[in-house]
Formats: sequence, structure tokens, C-alpha cells
Amino acid sequence: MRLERLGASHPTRLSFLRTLMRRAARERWRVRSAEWAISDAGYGHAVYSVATPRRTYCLVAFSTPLEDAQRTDRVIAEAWDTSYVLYDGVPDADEIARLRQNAPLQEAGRYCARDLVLARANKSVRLFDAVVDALAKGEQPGAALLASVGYLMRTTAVYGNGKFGIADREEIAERPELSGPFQAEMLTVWLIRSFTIDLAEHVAARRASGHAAQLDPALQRSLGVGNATGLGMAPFLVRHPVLMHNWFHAREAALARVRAQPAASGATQAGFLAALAAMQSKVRTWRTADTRQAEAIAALDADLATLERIAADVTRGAALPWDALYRFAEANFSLEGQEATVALILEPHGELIDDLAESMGADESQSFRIDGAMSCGALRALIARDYAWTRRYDFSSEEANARFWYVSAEKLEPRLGERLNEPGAEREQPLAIARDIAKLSRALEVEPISIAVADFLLRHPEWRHVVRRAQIAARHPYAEIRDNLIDAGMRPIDLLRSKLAFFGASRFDPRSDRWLRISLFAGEPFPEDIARECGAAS
Amino acid sequence: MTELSLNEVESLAAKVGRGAGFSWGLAEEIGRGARRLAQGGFPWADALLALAEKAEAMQAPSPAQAEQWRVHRSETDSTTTLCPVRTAALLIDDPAILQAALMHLRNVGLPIWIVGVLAAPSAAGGFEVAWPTASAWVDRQGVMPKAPGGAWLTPAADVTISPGAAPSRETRPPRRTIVDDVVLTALGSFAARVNVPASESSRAMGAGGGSVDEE
Repeated sequence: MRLERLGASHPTRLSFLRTLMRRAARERWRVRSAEWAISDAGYGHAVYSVATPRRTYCLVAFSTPLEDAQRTDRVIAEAWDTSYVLYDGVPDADEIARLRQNAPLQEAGRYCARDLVLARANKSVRLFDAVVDALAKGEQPGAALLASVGYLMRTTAVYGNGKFGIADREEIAERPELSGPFQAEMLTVWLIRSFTIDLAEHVAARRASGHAAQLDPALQRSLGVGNATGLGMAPFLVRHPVLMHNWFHAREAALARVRAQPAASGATQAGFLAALAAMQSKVRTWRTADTRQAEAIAALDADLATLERIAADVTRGAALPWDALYRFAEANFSLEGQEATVALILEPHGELIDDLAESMGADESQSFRIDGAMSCGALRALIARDYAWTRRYDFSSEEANARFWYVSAEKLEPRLGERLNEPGAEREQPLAIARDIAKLSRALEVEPISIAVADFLLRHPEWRHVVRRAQIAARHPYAEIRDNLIDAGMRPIDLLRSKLAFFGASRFDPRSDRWLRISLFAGEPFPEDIARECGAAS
Repeated sequence: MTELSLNEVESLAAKVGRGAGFSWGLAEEIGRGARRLAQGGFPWADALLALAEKAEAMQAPSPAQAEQWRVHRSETDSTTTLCPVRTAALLIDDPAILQAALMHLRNVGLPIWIVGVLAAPSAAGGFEVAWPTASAWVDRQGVMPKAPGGAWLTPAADVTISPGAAPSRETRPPRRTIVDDVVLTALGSFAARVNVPASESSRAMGAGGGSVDEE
């Protein structure tokens, strides 16, 4: 649970977009373009409906003109090429008119309980126009060009859980199709992907009526939806310790099950090798300008080549073949290679581990109450057991205290400040877990060990959130990122990558130590592909 | 008037609590409490604004008071107005205080916050929280008025907490709430106290994406 390892995370078959696609296939979800009111130039709205066994949801997409100078990934943007709402049910004309008034405004609009997810995306300037140009000429865009970007549009925010008036998570938490973590958000992005391609084909067709080509299915499949993610996402993992525990616990439980397998069947070996080949193909098209990430990709490429070469030898005759492969990776590979190996050995074991996806949600209210009857001595013992790692840091040093997390007044988004050079440290958010645990430990040292935590907190309410945290961590061993989140050398993108890997993201492309670009659903089927493969296409 | 989701209520209330000077942990309790009040149909926004405005004038229970409550001794009259959040926090931290006994609290400021913050996670049933002009049920499922028309925004009152089971709910509690825009603006001014104005240095450090899309 160290940042360096989290920063090498890879998606696995337990990632949320994979969970969504498995359910869509299992339940034969039917997706169709329900409305297409887009002008020749590509502006207007479209509606995609998704019929699940219990309910129908719709993606309402709006495409609006945008000056190039306004096209920015930053959260301070005020206009976007496209905006989206995942709607609960099928919207009538009045509802679409309401959404048209609000969705393009994003945070400046207001939404209602029928609106489940709010999102926006900007065109990849380089790729979208090139694809339209090629299709309008009746040609296919070059595969290399497509691979160099990987998506036609890039989302810059995907909001759920009550933001700006949209539905609270509780509205969907009891619905099997959306009850897992971020399933509504993943469904939204999956449908956005279809819209981006339909829009490009539409504009090309209108430009060259009767002569335009449609994008080759293989090229379509290679495209995902881009995403630019900055500090806004970073505190999430810290603020939701129980949820984070459940995510990592599921992954570790899956790994333990696979490593405990006494044999590697022919089918699982073939599945492993197929997954390895697919990953090698993805790594070869994984582009980044970030020097550190480029070196990590090169090391990963070498590790995967080694894995391909030695896998059969390492597993042959081993009492626990997958464990042997894991141990080989642990001993010989880079962190990227180790994490990639975990993803690869999980891949062919769906029957063994997919049920764990059901355990990745969390009702955090169940862990909220503080056990005030616990003695301060017992609390000290818990902290000594679970937070020994915080002793690595000397919080009297400038380096260990270099940063502070705060919320920007400008956009109400999390930010990271330099404590010595920026104003606002007195309004620091409570995300410096290691430092605060160290301070709480010192405060507890002067308390009689028999004093109840309730009495301690009555006199010292400033430690309430830290005590709650320590008691949660005692029951949830994967609750904490075991690093100093205000250290001078801390890289926020390590937090981002970990969360994004759980989403199922790929093509991690750091643009600084505070934001990165990724791709979602690249190489994966489209909803209509799954429906067609299930024989249920409408 | 503005319709809010419950997540917005909780998030806003926690910020207001912190902006009014409560610790982070107590601000979390205020957020959860406001959410429960909103779900129960209580005037949570007016209550939150009153709490923020009067927070500094109210006192936490003293350790001596806490000890008195534990042994179920009656309190002497007090001129000090008890902070309802600090009081309810003690009661949920140490549920033994409330077990199987009627409890009288003297001079509690904004007693609606006892209702909001006092969850009953370890109680088999729940509690009735009452003051002379209002009464409410508190249990695992949330909070609900015992009778309509209570004076929920009473500035201060003696409060009685007694064990008792709320009647079963036949309908799903509301998941939206309507707030007066004037009150919302006033709450926003307290919430803004936790935010930091953006600086050029933060932008220079690359808080988000590039200024203009180059791809």
C-alpha cells in the first residue's frame, strides 16, 4: 500500500468497467440509438437507450460549438464540445429541453433525481478532424494515427453521487445493475464512446453525402474515451477508507485464490498467454512524453518479454504454478512488471474470482461510529500496531511537512499547496493522515491508559476524525495508503493511477506529477457488440 | 428556492460546521446529522444556520457533567447553554449513558441537533428526544417527528431523552430537500471559510490539465 506501487497499478478483470461489461453480457442489455437530432455540422443532441432486465437508462448527449481557445482540460473551463447526462428512464421532450438548458453549463446548471451522472468531453483536436476528413474522402484514417492518441474525445469530468443536484448514490445503490462502485459512471463513459464515433461518422457522411466511409470496426474497437484527471480525484481514496479497503481486499483475495491453485489447466494457461499477448500489444502503443513513465514502460516491455519466455518453465512441475509465477515476478521484475503480472494471472480465472467484484462496494455509515468505550491505552495499542509505518517520517522537517491539501475557492476542487510558499495552510484539509496519527499518538501519551476515548474526545474534539480513522483501520487493514501525503516528494499522480486502474483505465500518460491522461474502454467491445454477440441486438 | 440532493446537504453542512469553528470530526457529525434531519423533513437549513451563528456562544459538557450523566444523577441548574453537537457526540461515543434510563439535559442550545446527531447504532430500539415544544424519534433508520408542528428551531430548552421505539415507516423517506436561497447563501458564506482562494502559484504548479488542449 505504498504510493510507488500504487503508481504502477494495472487494471484487472475486477476493474469496474470489466464488471459492467460482464453484467451487460450476462443480462443481455440492449442498447440502441433512440434519437439523433444532430446538424450537418455535428451539433445538437442524441439519445442512447440501454434496456436492462429491470430498468431502462438513457444517455442524453449534447454537442455544441466551441472556440478552440476555450477547449481546455482544466476544471476551470466553462464550455465544452459535448456534455452528457445519464438519465433514469426515457426522457420526454420536456426533459430533454430541461437538460439542454443545463447540461452544457455543467457545474453551473442544476439537476434532479432523474439525472444519475453528469459528464462532459472535448474533442481530440488532432484526431477528431483527421478521422472526419479521412472518412469524408471515403478512406480509413491511419491506424498509427489513431494509436498515437487513442480516442476521439476526452472527458474532463464525470460526476455522480448527488453533485449539483443529480441523484444521490442511495437512489441506485439497491439496483443490482448499478450497485457496484462507479457502475453508473462507467456506463456513461461506455455510451459516450459510441457517441464519439457516431458523431464523427455523421459529420463525414454529411460532408460527403453518399461517398463517406464508415470507420472500420477494428479501428473503432481500438478507440477508447480519453480522460484528463487532476488533483480533484486524488483525495477520494483517502476520504473513503472502507471503500478503499474493500477494493484492495477484493484484489488481494483474488490473487490469493489464484496463487493457491494446485495446477494450471490448459485453458488457464492459454488464457494467460492470450492476455499476455494483448498486454504486449497495448504496451507497444502506450505513448507518453513523461520520461519517468517512458522508462517504466520500457522496463515493463522487457519484463513482459521475460514473462513470455519463462512462464512455461516456471510453472511446469511447480506445486503452486501461479504462485511460482507471481514469486518470480516479485523477485525479478520492475514494479510495473509485478503489477502487470498480477493482472495477467488473474485474467484467466474468472470463474474463480469474479464473485469478488460483488464485495467492492461499501456502506460507510456502518463504520462511522466511534467506539468511545475503548480505553486510550487500547487506542494507543491499535495505533502502534497499524500505524508503525508513520514512524518513518520526521514531521519536524520541512520536507515531511512541505505540502498541504486544500479546497480551491475558485472551483471548490481539491488542490495541493506548498506550505512555505503559498497562503492558506490554516485551512488545510484533514488528509495528512501520517502526520495527524503521529500527533494523536503524542496526545495519547499523556493520557492515563484507562481513560475512555469518549472522555478524551470530550476534552480534545480536534482528534475526533483521527480517532475515527484509527478505529476504522483496525478493522480494515487496506484502509490506508502507507505514505506521507504531504511530503515534498509525494506524487499525486500515484494516487490517481491507483484509482483509475480500479476503474479499468489504460494508457496512463502523466503530464506532470499532478495530472495525467488515460483511456477507458480502448480495445473493449461496444455495448452493441456485446448485445450482438449475445444474439440480442435490437 | 433550490432543490438539493442529500449528498449536497451533508457536504454543505460539514463545511458549514467546520467554517463555524467545529473540529473536522464534529463537522462530519454535523454533516451526517443534517442529512438525517433533511430526510426526516426537519428544517435542517435554518437549524444549520442557527448552529453556525451561535456555535461560539455554546459550551461543551464538562467532564464533571459527563460523569453525572453516567451515574444518572440529576443535574443542577446551569446558566451555560450546552452545545448540542458536543453533547450528542458524547452520547453516541458512550452509549452506556443512555442505556435503559430517562435522561434530562438542562439548557441545551438548538436541541434539534441532538435529534440530528444522535444516532442509535448500538441501541436495540431507539430514543424519543423531547423538549417542551417538540418531540422526535431517533433510531437506526433515521429521525422523524413524533408529532407535526413542533418548534424545531427552539433556541434553547431542557431536553429529555428516553428509550423508545419509533413507529414503523410505511413510506420511503424523501431523498431531496428544498432550501430557501437566502438561507443557502448565508450557509455558503460559512462554508466558504474552509476554502482557499486560488493563487498563481497553485496554477503554476499544474493543479489541473494544460491551459489549452494541444492534442
